[in-house]
Amino acid sequence: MRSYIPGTDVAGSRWRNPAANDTAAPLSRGEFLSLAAALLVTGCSGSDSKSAATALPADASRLDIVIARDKLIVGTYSTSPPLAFINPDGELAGFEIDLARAIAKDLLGDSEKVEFVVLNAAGRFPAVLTGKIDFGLCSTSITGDRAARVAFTPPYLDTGGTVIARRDAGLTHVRQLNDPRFTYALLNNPGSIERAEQELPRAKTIVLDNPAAILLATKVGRATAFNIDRAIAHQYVADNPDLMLLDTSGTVYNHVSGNAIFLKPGDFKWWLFLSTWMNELRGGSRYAQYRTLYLRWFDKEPPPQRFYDVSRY
Amino acid sequence: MFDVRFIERVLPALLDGLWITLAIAFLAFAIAVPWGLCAAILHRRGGLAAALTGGYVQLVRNTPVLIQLYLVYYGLPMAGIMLSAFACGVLVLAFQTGGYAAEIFRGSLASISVRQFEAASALGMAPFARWRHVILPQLFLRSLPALTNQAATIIKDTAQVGVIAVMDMNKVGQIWLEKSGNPFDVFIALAAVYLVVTTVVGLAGRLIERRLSFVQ
Repeated sequence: MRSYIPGTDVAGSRWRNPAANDTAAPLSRGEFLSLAAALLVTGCSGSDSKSAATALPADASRLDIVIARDKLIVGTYSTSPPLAFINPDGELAGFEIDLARAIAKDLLGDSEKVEFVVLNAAGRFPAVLTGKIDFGLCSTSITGDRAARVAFTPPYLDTGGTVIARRDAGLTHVRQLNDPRFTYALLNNPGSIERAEQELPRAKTIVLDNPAAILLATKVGRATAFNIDRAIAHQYVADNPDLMLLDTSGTVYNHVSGNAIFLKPGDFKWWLFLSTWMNELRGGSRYAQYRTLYLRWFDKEPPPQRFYDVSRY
Repeated sequence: MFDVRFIERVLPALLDGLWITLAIAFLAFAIAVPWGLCAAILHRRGGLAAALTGGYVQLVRNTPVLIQLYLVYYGLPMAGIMLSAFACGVLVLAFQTGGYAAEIFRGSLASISVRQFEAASALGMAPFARWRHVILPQLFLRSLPALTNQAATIIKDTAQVGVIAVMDMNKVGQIWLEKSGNPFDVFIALAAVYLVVTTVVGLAGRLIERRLSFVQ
């Protein structure tokens, strides 16, 4: 239930930082560093997640802050079709964008009550750790290293590695790339780098910052092939007839990982809400909505709601 | 607050990237200084040369390094020219810094009295000797503080070459950030190394300035 704080104006002018005291205390060293890092990495374009909240306790859950603010602030990418991209109308669209809107609908009663902050790979974790965004929904796989620093919900998407090559390279299997004549582009993602070192030690590698950059590098001939999430790969191949998917059977690229929402650790209430919401979407009462979204953006059936036949039990 | 053990793990990797950072900065600066000097001397001649060098300076001052990097790295292959990412980084930073160096030299040249040119001519010095023995020593000394500043700037600007796949120190830091999800310690380590390097460059500049002060 939405909570309105007496003495505040919901429309905006008298909303204030929930962590701020009336006696304008100086910033601690930690707060200053956090603020500076967030400004440096994510720029000044996004809204301050705290600016619209009311006088909640300093240790208030992000769930309460979001409800009081009456708006969700979500970190996203803009170059990962069909997960999150700029559509021909110049608007953010995609599976992850729709997921964020669905959360806003359930939490705030309106799918439009969400502000997207477009991030790059380097900016996503600082943005969430400094409270610049409420959570990140930007094609982020769960890894052990990351889980030590940020909290993850259960995954919303099974994904994994694929390799896309220029059709004119004449390759069919990813192992054929393991040749110094070929250049292999990948994201600055430790998992991708480790897989390249393991499977393609002889190929030249170039490490770029976002999916659009590795696609462009391959299109202009700087790279022969590139590694990208499975969900994004199919869209790229569909849109670019000069590219093709390589067979990855028998290689480390044939793995499954989970893309999940990530948030600042230590906020159990917020994590519990998002995790419960995600569990219900992927395997519970909202599975039909998940299926609709999945069909819309991936044009195929999602994984089943249960791995067993429910009617037998 | 700081995870010292984490920073200890990150630092060796950053120092590996530092060599790439220093190599790019050194090469770009080594190209930019003579290039900027030529541009400043051409500008002094006036006419078409001055218009061209003025246009060049405006171009580099008013377009972001990032855009120049993208244009050179992705644009040249479309014209059939395939330079390495490292070479693209050096070229762009040299082109950029050359513009600023040209302005620095132009300002210093303007501060040298035209009578010195006339006096050198009256003594029968050839144009090259005039520049070599009279003008250039003063020009470099007057430009040195600003050039030192530019050297520090170019080291910091190398942090952008990671967007074209150069594994400089900042790029290595980004990979560690991705791996660990621990941005602040990575940023602190990066900032500390940049600070040390640029401070050393600043001190070296001051030392050279002091050593050369006898010219005046």
